[in-house]
Amino acid sequence: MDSKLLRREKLLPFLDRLREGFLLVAPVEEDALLFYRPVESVAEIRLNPGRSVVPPKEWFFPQAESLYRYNTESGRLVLEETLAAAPAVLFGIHPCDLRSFAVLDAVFLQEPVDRYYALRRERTVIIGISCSAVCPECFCTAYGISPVEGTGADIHLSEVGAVYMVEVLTRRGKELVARCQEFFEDNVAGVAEAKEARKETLSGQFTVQVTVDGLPARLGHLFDHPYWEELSRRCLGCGICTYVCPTCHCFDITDVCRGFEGKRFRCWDACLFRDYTLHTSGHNPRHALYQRLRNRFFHKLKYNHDRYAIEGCVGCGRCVALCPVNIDIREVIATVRGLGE
Amino acid sequence: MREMAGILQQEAARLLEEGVEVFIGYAAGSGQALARPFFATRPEEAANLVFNPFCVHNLVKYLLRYPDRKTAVVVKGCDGGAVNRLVEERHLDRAKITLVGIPCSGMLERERVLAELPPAAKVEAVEDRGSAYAVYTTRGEYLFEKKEHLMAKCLACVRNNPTGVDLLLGKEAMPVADPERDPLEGVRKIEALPAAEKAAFWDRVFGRCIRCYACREVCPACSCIECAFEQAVPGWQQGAMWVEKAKNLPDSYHYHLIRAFHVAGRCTSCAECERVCPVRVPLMLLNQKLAKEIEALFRGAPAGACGPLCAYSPEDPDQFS
Repeated sequence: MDSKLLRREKLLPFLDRLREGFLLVAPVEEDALLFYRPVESVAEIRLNPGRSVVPPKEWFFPQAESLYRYNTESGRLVLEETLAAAPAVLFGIHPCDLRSFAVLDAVFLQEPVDRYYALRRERTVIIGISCSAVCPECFCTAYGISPVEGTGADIHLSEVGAVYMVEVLTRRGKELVARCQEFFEDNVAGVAEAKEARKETLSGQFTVQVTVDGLPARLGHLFDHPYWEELSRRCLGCGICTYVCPTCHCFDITDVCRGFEGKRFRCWDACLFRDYTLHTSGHNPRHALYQRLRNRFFHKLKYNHDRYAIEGCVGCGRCVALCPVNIDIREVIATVRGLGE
Repeated sequence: MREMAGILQQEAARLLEEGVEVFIGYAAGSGQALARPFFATRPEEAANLVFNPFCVHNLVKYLLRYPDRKTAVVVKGCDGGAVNRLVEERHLDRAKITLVGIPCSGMLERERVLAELPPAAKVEAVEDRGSAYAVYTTRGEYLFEKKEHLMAKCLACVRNNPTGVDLLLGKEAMPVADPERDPLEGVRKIEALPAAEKAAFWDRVFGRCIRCYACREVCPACSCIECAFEQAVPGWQQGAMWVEKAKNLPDSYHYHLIRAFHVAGRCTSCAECERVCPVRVPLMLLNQKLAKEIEALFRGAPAGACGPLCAYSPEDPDQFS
C-alpha cells in the first residue's frame, strides 16, 4: 500500500480538480442534516462529516431508479434502456459505510449480476475518511471495523494535525493520485503513528460494548420465541430503520403506465411495511408486525451471514439514533445472546 | 419525579390486578435522556414504569391495536385529546380504557440536552424547579432552563394538566407557556413569503422526505385501517395508487398535502409526526396552517367533540351540493 500526505488546505483544490473528470458526490449539510449529494461547488462540502441520515448506499442503489421505459403506440412493444451512470467520485465515506458496500456487493454482484448497481459501482471511485468522533450509538468495532480503517475505499484519508494521511488502497486509487500528483507529498515519519494513536483515542469513546459472536446459530433456535412479539409492541411499523440502514437492500418493482407509454422502476421497500411481501392472493406470509420486525433482525443478524458469509449489520448506529420508539439493535443482540444461553 | 414513578407503578400494578389487560406507559430507554413506550401485562412488570421529561411519545395510537381489550394508558395533556377523537369516531370503546393522566411541565428536547450532557453521564433523577429541570447524573447535576430546552410544542402549551381522565396522578403542573410567544409564528412567517420562496422552502423540505411513513404510523388521527398510500389489499382501489411508491418530489408533495388534509380538523397537535421525522420535515407547519384556516372558517359553528369538519346538522343552512 502506498501512503502519501495531503495538506489540509489542498483537499478542496484536489476535490475541485476531480470535478473536471468526475461527478463529485460528497457530504453536504441541509438544515443541520447531512446528506451525500452531487455538488456544484466544493465550497458546499462538509470536510469533517458526521453521520449522514440516509447512508451513501443511495449512490449505488438509489431509493427510486428507472429500469427501462416502454412504448406501445406503434402497435409493437418498444423498450428503451435507461441504464446510465456517469463516472463519479464518492467522497467522505466513513469506515462503517465502506463496509456496507461490501455487504451490498455480495448481494448485487453475485450471479446474475445487477447491471444497474454494477455499472454505478464500476464507474465510482471511493474516497474514504476516518471518523473524527464516535457517536453514542456507534458500535462498528463489534464487527471488526475500526473508525480509522479504509478497507473498501480506493483512497482513504485520515486527518492528522494539519495534514491528511492518504492511504492509496487500490489500482484505481493509484491512478487517481498519479493524475493529481501535484497535490500530494511523500509521507513523513510520525504520521502513521499519529493515526494509530487516534485509533486508540476513538476506541475509548465507544459507550456500549457489543459482542456478536455466535448470533446466527443462536437465532436459529429463537424464531418462535415470544420476544419478537414483545419487542414489536412498541414498533410503529414505519420504514425509518430500513431506509437509514446502509445494508438494507430490499426493493419493489412497479410500472407506471400513462396511455401508450410507461416506465418500470424499482424503489426501496421496507420489511416493516404492511404490504411488504404481500402476495397477489392477498396472503402475506408475514401478516403480523412481529413477523416483519423479526424478519428485519433475522436478516441483519443471521440470514445475511448464512447466505453471503458477511454480517448484515455494520454497527453504524443510524437505526438506533433514529428509531422514534427506541428499538435498539444493540439491546436486541444482547437479549438474543442471553436467550440463547 | 421519583415519587411520581412510585405512584405510577403502584397504580399500574393495582389496575393490572383489577382486570386491566394491557397498561401502556413509559420505561427508561437504552440511551441518555431517553424513554420508550412500555407495555405491562402483569402487575410485576409495573416496576419498569417511569415518568420524566423524556416521555415525549403520544401513546394513544397504540390503543388501536387493542380495540377489544381492557387497557390503561398514560396520557399527558397534549395526548388526551386524541383519545376523545378516536372514541367519537367509534374506533375505540371508552368504557374499555382507563386514562391515567399525568400533569406535565414540558418535555425536554433530547438533542439540546445531549448537547450539554457528557456522553458518560447517566441520568439518575430529574427534578422540576419551575422554570428549569434539574437533571441529576452520575457526573453531577445539570440545570436545563425550560425556555431554551423544551420541545417547541411545549413552549406554547396550555394543556399541562390532562382533562377527562379516569385517574390523575401527581400534583397540578404550572403552565410553562410564554404568553408573549405566538404559537403560529412559524406559519405566519411562511405565509408572508413571496410565492417563489414558499415553493423553494417546500421543495427543499419535501425533497428530502424519504417516505418512511413514520409520520403516518405514529399519528393518532391516521386511523384508517387501509391507507390511500399503500396496497394493504392487492387490487384495492382497482390497483390505483394515489402516489407512486418511488421517492420523487411531486409525489412527496402529494403525500404530505393529502396527509395534512386527511388529518385536518382531527389533528390534536401532539406534534408526534414532526418529532419522529428522520429528516425533520416541519409537518406541524402544515397541521397548524389547516387548524388556523378551520378556525377562521368555522369559528363559532357548533362543533362537538369531533370538531367542526365532522359535525352534522339537518338545520345547516348551506346546501351540500
